[in-house]
Amino acid sequence: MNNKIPVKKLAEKLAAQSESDISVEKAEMLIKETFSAIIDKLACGESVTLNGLGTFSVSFNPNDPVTFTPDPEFAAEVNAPFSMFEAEELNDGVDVEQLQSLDIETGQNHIDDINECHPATTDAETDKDSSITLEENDNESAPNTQCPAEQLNNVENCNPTETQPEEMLQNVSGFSVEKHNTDSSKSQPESEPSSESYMSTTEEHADDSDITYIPEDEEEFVEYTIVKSRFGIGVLVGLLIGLVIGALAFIGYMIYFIN
Amino acid sequence: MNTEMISAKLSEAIGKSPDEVSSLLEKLSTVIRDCCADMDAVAIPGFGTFQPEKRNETVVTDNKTGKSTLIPPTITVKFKSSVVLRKKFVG
Repeated sequence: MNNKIPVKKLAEKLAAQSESDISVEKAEMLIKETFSAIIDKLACGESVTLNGLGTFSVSFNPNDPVTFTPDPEFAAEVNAPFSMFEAEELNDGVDVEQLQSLDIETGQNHIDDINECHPATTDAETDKDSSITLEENDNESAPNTQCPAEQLNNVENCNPTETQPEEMLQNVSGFSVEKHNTDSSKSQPESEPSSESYMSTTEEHADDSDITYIPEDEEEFVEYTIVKSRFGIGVLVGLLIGLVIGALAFIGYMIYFIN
Repeated sequence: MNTEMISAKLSEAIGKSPDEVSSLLEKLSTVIRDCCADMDAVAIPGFGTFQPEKRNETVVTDNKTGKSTLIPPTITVKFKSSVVLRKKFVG
């Protein structure tokens, strides 16, 4: 891309792609002779058309005495990356500067959103448990500033595979105490930590954290039930097929002895 | 003048039949097209350079109606004559 192809390289490509066996030297000579013949014809005032390439014609412009009009197929092939675009009529009141500023602003906002949702995390930050990170979120006094992806990471940091669900629930309820205390310092009285309070607090902030606990158990249960049901159907089908085969064998055995 | 006339003229110089030269010229056109499609310029010594150029999107306003139209970006092939060719024609 953006290279200048010399005639020697062009001849190499032509020799490689041509069906007839032609050497690179012959191909280079063909290229030079072709354009030499075109120059001779142009000097006579004629226009020259090469199939698939375009038309060369003489103009009276001293800076550009030969004009080239590319073949429509050639022009379409070169413009292929932008061929899907069409000229659009702009509405009244739309300014060019307004369009450019709009693009820049939306792009910058998009980048800012991505940076907010995916800040650079260190190992120390990833070692924190969910209670600490969510408590920090409360201290910022900005509700829902943490994006769902980050909340999901915090929940994953609890290592649900290593701990039992009851321990997880205790950890989470421990978090709910801290969360509830922070809230209670503002408006509500203190209450005992429970799973209900956890549910009520997580509804405000992290609905995804509930979703991450439950599906793992459900998936295991569903997979187990599916396997069990398939096994039962297979046994029934096998028994039926065995009975049919046994009956047929018995009938054949009886017919053989009767005859 | 077209490809067939050029191929008839070149067949003696190359030592190939006019049909073979004609197919070679079509291959030459294809090679130049492929190079330009890859945004590469093709330089022919003593003749000129085929240079693909990208033109950015522009807004064109019709002074009579006042309507503005957004013209999409395009890539076109420009031919720039070499100095030898210019001197030959301009003198």
